[in-house]
Amino acid sequence: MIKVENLFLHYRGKTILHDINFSVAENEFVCLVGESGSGKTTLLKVIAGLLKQSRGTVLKEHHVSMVFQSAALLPWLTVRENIEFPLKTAGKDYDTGLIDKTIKEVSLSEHQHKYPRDLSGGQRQRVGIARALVVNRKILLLDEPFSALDIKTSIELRQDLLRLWKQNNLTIVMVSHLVEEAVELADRIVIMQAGKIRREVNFHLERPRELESKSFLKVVDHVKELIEN
Amino acid sequence: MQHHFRHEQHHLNKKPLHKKVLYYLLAIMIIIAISTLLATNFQSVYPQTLIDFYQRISVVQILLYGLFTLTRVTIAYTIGLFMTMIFLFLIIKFRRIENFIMPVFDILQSVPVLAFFPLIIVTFANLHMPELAAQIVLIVACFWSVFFGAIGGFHQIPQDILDAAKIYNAKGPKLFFKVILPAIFPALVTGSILSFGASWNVIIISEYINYGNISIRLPGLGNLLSSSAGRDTGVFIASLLMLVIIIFTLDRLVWHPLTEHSQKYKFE
Repeated sequence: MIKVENLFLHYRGKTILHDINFSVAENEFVCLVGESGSGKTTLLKVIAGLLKQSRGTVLKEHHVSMVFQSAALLPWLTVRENIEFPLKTAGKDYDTGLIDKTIKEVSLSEHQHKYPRDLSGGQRQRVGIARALVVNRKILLLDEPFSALDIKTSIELRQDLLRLWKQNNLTIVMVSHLVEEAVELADRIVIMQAGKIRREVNFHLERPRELESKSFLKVVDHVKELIEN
Repeated sequence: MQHHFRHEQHHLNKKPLHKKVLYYLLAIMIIIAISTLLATNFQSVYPQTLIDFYQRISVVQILLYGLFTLTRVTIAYTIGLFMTMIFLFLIIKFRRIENFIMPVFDILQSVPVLAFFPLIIVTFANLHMPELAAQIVLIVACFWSVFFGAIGGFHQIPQDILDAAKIYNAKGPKLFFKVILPAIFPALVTGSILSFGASWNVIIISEYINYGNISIRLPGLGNLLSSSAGRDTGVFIASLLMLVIIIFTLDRLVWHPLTEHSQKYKFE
């Protein structure tokens, strides 16, 4: 579980995050949405421990993994070496069977000896997800992971993410700028605006979600309305 | 960052080998002809002095002098690279150091190496360490390219990469050796080529020193070039040819393969 309390972040005289309070339950999938510059990625980086808050607390029961918008792969390492990277830097012995299993889970077996430059955008993002899964951390943070992908690949990866979430009992916080994507994936949506949490939207839609159903579109419209107003 | 300073020579790559060799020989001959004309102040050159140069200096001696110069330049570069690694490690570890180091180094690198020359020469000549004086002149000349290349490369690393490295356990020396060093490798290769180039520029002043009543001659091509210019055209051409051969061989056997290999380390 994650608990953020009275969190402020000041940078060069500006308040980037203002009195943030929210929590994420175990195995919950939460999406942060909002306009560009609203502080979504900054909040994610504070939760990850990449940025230090000026005030307030972030409580996490587990270490976090993170998937980046750019996939953030090391170009001089192969797919397999990129996935092994966190285990090698940890300096502990690891089971190579775990790497094989993870590579298989993200459907990259036949690409494991390729370099990132030889992969499509979707395949690179799969490597990023595999690298996040291999360390077996229970909290997964995702920063707009599908924003640079084409629609078909994005749909495929969203389905894969949902499968991996359930399979690995993950707690997920994902930043997205697409309301439809957030409603398709999340249990709860947190709307951010100008460094503040404007609203939290709880909704109950059965999974798998029908993207054309009335109830789905109703939630999408409701969230969009809240963002626009 | 001088990403495209190196000419890719695509036009030559398509030519057959014998044509490539011909073009290179032609280029070398033109360089030597121009250099000789400049060194002799455009006065007439007697063919006999060109042919019998080996009676005044042996081929083995020219080879040895070439080896001495190459060793001197390589040592200066290695020290410069080592200093770069230390400064880079410190800058990454204590980011605020950069705010102090960069302005100081920026000013120092804009001062020509000749401005440091009198101080270095007087100090080390008095201490009877001319070799050290030559080394310091070379280090001062070559350090900046490799240092600023490395710093430039470090600042080009995408923030996501550094964030991912931190999330996935790469901190301290692990971050330096497993992420930063490979990530700056292309910039380091470029900086190293420029660094060697800067050293070749100062081999004459580092091996053939005349300052006040101090006169130092070190065995090397710089000395040979300087002492034969305008006096012995045959020896001058032979030493110049040796220098061209060393630089060309280094380029083909070291820098060209390293530049090709460094493509693997580039971020898209």
